[in-house]
Amino acid sequence: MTSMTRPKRAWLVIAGQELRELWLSARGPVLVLLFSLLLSVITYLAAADKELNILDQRQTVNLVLQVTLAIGVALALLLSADAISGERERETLESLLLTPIPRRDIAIGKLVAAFSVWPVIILVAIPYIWILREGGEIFTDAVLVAPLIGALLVVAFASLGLVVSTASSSNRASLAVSFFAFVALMVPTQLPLKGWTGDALRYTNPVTAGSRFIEKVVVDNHSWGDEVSLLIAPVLAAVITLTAAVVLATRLRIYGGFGR
Amino acid sequence: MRRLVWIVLAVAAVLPLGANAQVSAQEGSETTAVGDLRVSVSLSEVAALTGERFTFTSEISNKGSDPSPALIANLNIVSLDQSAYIDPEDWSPQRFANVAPIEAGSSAEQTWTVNPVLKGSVAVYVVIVPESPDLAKAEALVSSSAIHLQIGEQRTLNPGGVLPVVLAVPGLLGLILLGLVMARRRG
Repeated sequence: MTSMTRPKRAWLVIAGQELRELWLSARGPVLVLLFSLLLSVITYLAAADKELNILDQRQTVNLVLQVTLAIGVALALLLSADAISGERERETLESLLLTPIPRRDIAIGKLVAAFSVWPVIILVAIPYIWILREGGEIFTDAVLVAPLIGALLVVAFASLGLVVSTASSSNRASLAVSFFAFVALMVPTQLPLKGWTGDALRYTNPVTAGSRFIEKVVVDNHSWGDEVSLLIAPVLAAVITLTAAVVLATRLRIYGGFGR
Repeated sequence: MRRLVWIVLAVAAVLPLGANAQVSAQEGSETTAVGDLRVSVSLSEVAALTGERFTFTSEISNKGSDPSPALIANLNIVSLDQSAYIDPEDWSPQRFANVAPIEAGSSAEQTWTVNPVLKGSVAVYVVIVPESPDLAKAEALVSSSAIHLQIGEQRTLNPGGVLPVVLAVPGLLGLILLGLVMARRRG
């Protein structure tokens, strides 16, 4: 380690490389284009329903926000789930580990690239929210609450994906486990949660808590302070998984699992 | 002795009826019977397209000699051709109205908004129900005649004016993607 000095802010180098690969290749833009097409279809159908007064504008905006949240979280999770196990499978991880970049910086750089999906996704969603809003207040609520909740969940899920990717010996296993975790945590948002078990699940599952927070603020017009308890699970999930991802990255090995 | 038994049995049999009759008589003495109320609606026929809201009024008249009891006027919507299931909540934001007792010879008016969401032949009518459960079950309810709605389907290509955004955003992103692909090929 005499000739090779550790670069300062090496994570920036990794993040720059990953961001270029994601956004200057077709991969990122194609995903965002597909997302915008999905949002166009949903917006068109929701507007048709709104015109018939089956959905009011707050429910319509909430629908778009919930879809945006789900897609943003899923994309960030799948990108980070591919981050290490993908390098491993493409046999590029070994050369990456031979560079003087600390393993923690590799993880942080890859996480930054996965996080970058969220601002792009929310930027694409804003015109749809604007056209469906029918009122300044609802637009302000929507463009403030959704980025915050989405950012927390994207950090949590991208970090979770990186942990799984670091541990997995194959990319297929990493993607499958991550996707299962995503579905398992997303499904309760569609369930009628009642009683103390429902409350427990609603407040402990970061996805249901985040989704509920958006719904309460946007649809029910509650203030943020009224529902602040719903923010606990997303914040804790983001902090715990991010810490785990960065700490476990120091034990990153060429093969799967965590070594010493 | 046998006659006395018969008298006692007869009194016992009549007493509950008497008690019921007293309740009805008390209520009947204070309020006019529901049968003396009439409900009329301001429209009889409506032809509209889906999404075209309209309003109508109903008028409850007290033809009796006493004030009416407190009432609930309820809006009912029924499909006449069974072409579609009607969920009344989708069709009207307000399904009922509380009506204070109406003086004898007076009337009360309610305004209803209907938003047709499906095509078909539909009947809309208002029925009045006394708030008191005893009165509600005592006699037949009174309803208005039905307004016949003939709803046609409205097809709009630009619901809520969303079409420009729905087309422009993917179009713009598609152009950016195309530019990136071409730049990569050149580079």
